[in-house]
Amino acid sequence: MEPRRIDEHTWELPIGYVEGMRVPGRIYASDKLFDRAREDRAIEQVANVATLPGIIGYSLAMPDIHWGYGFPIGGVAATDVDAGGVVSPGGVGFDIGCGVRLLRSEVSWQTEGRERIRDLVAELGKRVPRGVGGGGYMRLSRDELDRVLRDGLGFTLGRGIGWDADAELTEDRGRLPHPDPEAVSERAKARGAPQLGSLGAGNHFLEVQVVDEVRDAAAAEVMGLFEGQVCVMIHSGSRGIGHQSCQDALRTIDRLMPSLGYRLPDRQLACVPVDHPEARSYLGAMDAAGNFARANRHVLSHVARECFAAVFGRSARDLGLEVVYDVAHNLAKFEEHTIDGRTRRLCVHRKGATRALGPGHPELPERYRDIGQPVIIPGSMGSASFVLTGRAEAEALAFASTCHGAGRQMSRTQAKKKMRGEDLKAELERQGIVLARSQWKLLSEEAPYAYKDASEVVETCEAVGLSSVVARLRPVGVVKG
Amino acid sequence: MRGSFEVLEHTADIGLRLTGPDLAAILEQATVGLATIVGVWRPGDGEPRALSVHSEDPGALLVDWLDQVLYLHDAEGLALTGVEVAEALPDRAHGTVHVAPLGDGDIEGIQVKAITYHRLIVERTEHGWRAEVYLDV
Repeated sequence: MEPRRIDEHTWELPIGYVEGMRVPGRIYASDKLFDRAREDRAIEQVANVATLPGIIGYSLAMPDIHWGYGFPIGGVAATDVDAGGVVSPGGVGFDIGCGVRLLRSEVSWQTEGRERIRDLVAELGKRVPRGVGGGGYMRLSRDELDRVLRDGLGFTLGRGIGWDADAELTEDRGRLPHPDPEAVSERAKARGAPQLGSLGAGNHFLEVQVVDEVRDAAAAEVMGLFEGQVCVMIHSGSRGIGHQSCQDALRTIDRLMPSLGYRLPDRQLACVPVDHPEARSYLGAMDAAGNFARANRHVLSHVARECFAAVFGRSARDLGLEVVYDVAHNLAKFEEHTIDGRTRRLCVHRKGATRALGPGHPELPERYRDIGQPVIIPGSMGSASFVLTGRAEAEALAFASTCHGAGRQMSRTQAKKKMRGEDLKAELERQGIVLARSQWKLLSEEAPYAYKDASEVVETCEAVGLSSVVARLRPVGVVKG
Repeated sequence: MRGSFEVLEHTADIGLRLTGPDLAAILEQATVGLATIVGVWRPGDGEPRALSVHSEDPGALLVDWLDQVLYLHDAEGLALTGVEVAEALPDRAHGTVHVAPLGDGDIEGIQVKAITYHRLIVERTEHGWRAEVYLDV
């Protein structure tokens, strides 16, 4: 059975593409992106997700679709809570609540940023905790950790970290609605307690960026963005606490699978009805880990503000280092969507996909009510990142979702063979990108050429109607684990 | 040490292919392979830590064992210096992992977040056992 082309950017996998599909698959992609997804067999994973009990509409993939574990990265799947719908921890992934925060500033690259960038990156390099197994900016007692899991930004703001306005500009106002710290295992807490305010490693980063193109002047103005402006982008997640919470849930639910009688094509898709006690436990732990992820990015922005203040000799408030938005791209949420004229309560899994609410949505902060939700798309080290806005059409097309990034196109070994870390550093410096101290031997694993270009992904999202491009940002300083 | 491991790599995937005369050798090789990928395999003397797992089947046994090994590194900041699996049956295993403080300095390795069930294989062959397991990185 072959995928069917619906229109220029829409492809359908009919029921029967793999055995047991309950709904068709639908992939939004350009020819080039679709061919890549076909080559790496990610479209088969879209079909596999369509076998989940209670799935409704389509098993969806955003234009950045690529091979994942169980779910494809870029996958969106909604299950009907009132019709036996399931939650699948693999549909959220191990880095629960991973996402991106963008800070804007009043600093102009031309007049001030350019001459201070080396000092700024050196300061960030000294102070931003990162790397494999690294501890964080804050070490928490067990009681404090439970408060982070319960309150998200509420805890950090209560400790005087960050500004009250930051919460308003964070998805769900910085706190997911149903966290249950008791559902988070002691092992997960032990992994997470030392890590609040740390980047981690891999593709996570803190970058100093410059807005180099504004494509939607009106939306950019609302967000406080302008060409030539220095910004900070932070890409990180829930660190060990999310990783272990997902691992724990997968183990429990994997053991339940024989009793549930589901036949699924991949063990990593293990799932349980949303109203099952183990689902409630997982969802409580997931919201708690999601709160940790938000607090983690919040603490990292506090560190960035301190570094800016030290280097520019003015307070972070004087520098205008305000949050534009903070949004996750690995999460499952209960949302209401209208399908066939009926409003239903759905459990929407987004794994490597971003919620993208259109203009007028009641959950939007007042500031963004007229333009839609900001969506932050991180590029890879050394390549452009983007700011988008959600569009109203995304509601019907993809349960109000859009892409999250680009994804790898080269293995780590291939990337390392292509260029030594020291040479890559020199090459990036020639392009005007300053790197903080890093593990040079491993640097080239994360080279820009190892990742696909996010431009084609965001432009495809725009062509489909999922989101619109507001601005492109280029990196000028990179801090990575 | 009996058996062998090979790091599997394809675009975004990192995994381990393991062979050994018995299930105990598979778990030992998996331990060394994981610690090597993370960059914390430092063979030598170390403090013994007892590990014990009970699982539903050999695949889950491998995932559960590696989850415990990863936890020792990630939660306690330890390097791994040795491993002996005393007994491994299809649904349970126990043994000892030796650990030492990591000390100062960078770790030259890949951050492993968790152990997946994706394309998990643990099976008997004509010559012993073989396994494949993928890691979330």
